[in-house]
Amino acid sequence: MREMNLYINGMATINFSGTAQERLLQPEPDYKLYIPDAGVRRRMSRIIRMGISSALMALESSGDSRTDAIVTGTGWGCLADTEKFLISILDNNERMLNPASFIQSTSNTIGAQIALMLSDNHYNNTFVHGGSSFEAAIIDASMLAMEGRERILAGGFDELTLTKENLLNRMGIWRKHIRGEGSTFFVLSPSKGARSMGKIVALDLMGKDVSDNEIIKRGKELLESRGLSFSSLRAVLCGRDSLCGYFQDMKIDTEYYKLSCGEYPTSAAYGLWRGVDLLSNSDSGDYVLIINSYLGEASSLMLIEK
Amino acid sequence: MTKEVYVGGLGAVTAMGVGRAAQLSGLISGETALGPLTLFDTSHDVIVGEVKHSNRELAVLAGLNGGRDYSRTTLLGLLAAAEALEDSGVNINGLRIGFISATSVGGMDVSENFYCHYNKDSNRGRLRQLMGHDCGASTQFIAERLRTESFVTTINTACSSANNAIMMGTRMIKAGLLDAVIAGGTDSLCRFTVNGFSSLGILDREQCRPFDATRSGLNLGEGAGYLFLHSSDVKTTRRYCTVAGYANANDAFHQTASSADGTGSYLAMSGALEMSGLNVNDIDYINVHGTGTPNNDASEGVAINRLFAGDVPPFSSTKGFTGHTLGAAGGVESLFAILSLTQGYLWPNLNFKESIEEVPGMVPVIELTKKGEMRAVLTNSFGFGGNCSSIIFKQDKRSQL
Repeated sequence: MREMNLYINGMATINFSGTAQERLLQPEPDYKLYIPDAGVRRRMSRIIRMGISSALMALESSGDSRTDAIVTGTGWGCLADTEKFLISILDNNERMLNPASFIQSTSNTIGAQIALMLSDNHYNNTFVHGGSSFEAAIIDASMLAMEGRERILAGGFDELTLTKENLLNRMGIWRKHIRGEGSTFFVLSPSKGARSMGKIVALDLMGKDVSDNEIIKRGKELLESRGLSFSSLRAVLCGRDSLCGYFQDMKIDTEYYKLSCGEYPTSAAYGLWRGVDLLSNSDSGDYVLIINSYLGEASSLMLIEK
Repeated sequence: MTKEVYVGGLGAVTAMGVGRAAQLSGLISGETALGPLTLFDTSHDVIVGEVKHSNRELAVLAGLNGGRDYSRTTLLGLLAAAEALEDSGVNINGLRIGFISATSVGGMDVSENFYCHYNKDSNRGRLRQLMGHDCGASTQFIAERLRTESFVTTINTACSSANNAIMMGTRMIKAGLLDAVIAGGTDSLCRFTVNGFSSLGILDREQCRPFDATRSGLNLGEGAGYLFLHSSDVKTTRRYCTVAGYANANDAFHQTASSADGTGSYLAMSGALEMSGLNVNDIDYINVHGTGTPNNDASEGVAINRLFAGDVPPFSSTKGFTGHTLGAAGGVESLFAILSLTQGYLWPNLNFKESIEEVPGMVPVIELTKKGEMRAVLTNSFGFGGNCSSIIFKQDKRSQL
């Protein structure tokens, strides 16, 4: 478990859930507000448009476009461009390839493009460790805050391409999980600002195949270390279906947030966004616990305070 | 936040061979390990730095059973990370020890095989081959195998990735979150990167000529390099050096090209120097990024010349030995820099004849040079997306035997 003191001074999310057909019918944000050049916008894959726009929206909500670090996390990376380049290698027999999709295939593309748009020469890092990529970015952000950074732009994003959707379908994932994709960014700071919406006070990252009981035990420990208990929480944002009943039985306000965002490696970022959103109608001193699991890969707990 | 972080173990695999001893003898020999590509069929006529073992041989060396499609990235990484751990002589029981690895291609070599089938029919292709595709898969497998799971993550900032992994590990030890970390990177050659760099027109068909006026591109390589990083509380067989300074900066100029004045690289190097508290004249050697592309070397050269105000310390690119190992480069070259620092050698920059136009008179180390005691060395790794990271390793007086 890691104690931290990260104020959330701005945030934004873009999410799509459901089948490919359903996702296409959902309204998109007006990307041209954030990526004005039509040519540039067209050349960007869906995840790059989504990532950059949500990052700039988060900065906008903080009332200040300055940053002194950019940290991102993505489990799947830039799949559409990776696949596009792979297909072009096969179809064109390695000849006359267009480098655009190769260039945009690396997982740090979004963090880099944000730096480019903001002319930001500061620290820039990208974590790509499956279901704990966003949490790793938050741990990095908490250290950056300790090291004196004041405005850290941190986010998580994943895109569900048709191929990924089909492959996960063949693996049987959609029998138990809701399809989803999205991008969520936060402006984090060690200092409270006029627009602070809450703060992250603790994060506990767990490895593979953790049981429900283990997560409950770790959750209790995390809360007890701060003199809290499950029943003193304003709400539990539960990103693990099998656990929701436990909290509902305790009459705790519980929300299975993956009904809204679906399942993807960085969906904890959406959980955090939803938690902070709940705190906005809440009293000072209220707490929300966010529990996330991505398939069997990784689980995490995040405690936020108004 | 004043805690010292030490390097207590080294491990590497490159075209020069398996293990840190092979790296040392390869660098001392002054002979390139680059040659034609034999690992897979491609229509490109390229020179690469291949590790001269099949996947099956690498698996045997790493003590793995057959029957599984391990990605080459995993195999190279496991060999090098296990060596770094073993070199430290540490008993990991009771230690909070993490594994932070960098990779840019992940299990792409295996995914490419899958995709050949999948592309013809979306119901085809063996799903097990995809298990290793994600960048995090190789890291997770190695961490479980070595039981270094107190914190496990993967970083991908393209060619600067491994330097960022070493930085992250160092910072976590300084913050008191971990006692020790194995940090570095691994990447294997694959069709994806050969075609990618070829499509960008930055592969040299000849041997690369870093920092030479006639340079015309890079040669790809593969390999892995890891450092065993630890706090002063951990007892290792030896302490090679301390991690004295580091910085990560972004050029914010172009997705793939570097700015003419090398803003990002200047900020990374000057930030590392500032943190170390050293002066420019304390740096006895720079292992430059020096890919051999016209753009990188010009930009990096201008930045170095600016930082050292024209009085540039001995420097070389070792990519003429190994090729550009992409996400692993920072790990491999940190190890080369540390071998320079501890063994007192300046590694030669192969294939140099005439200095670059942008910084006339800037001449790298041409022949293997044995120096006396070295104080500190700097290593650079820069990548797509403007990601620039520099690290300074310093001789630790107390570690001298």
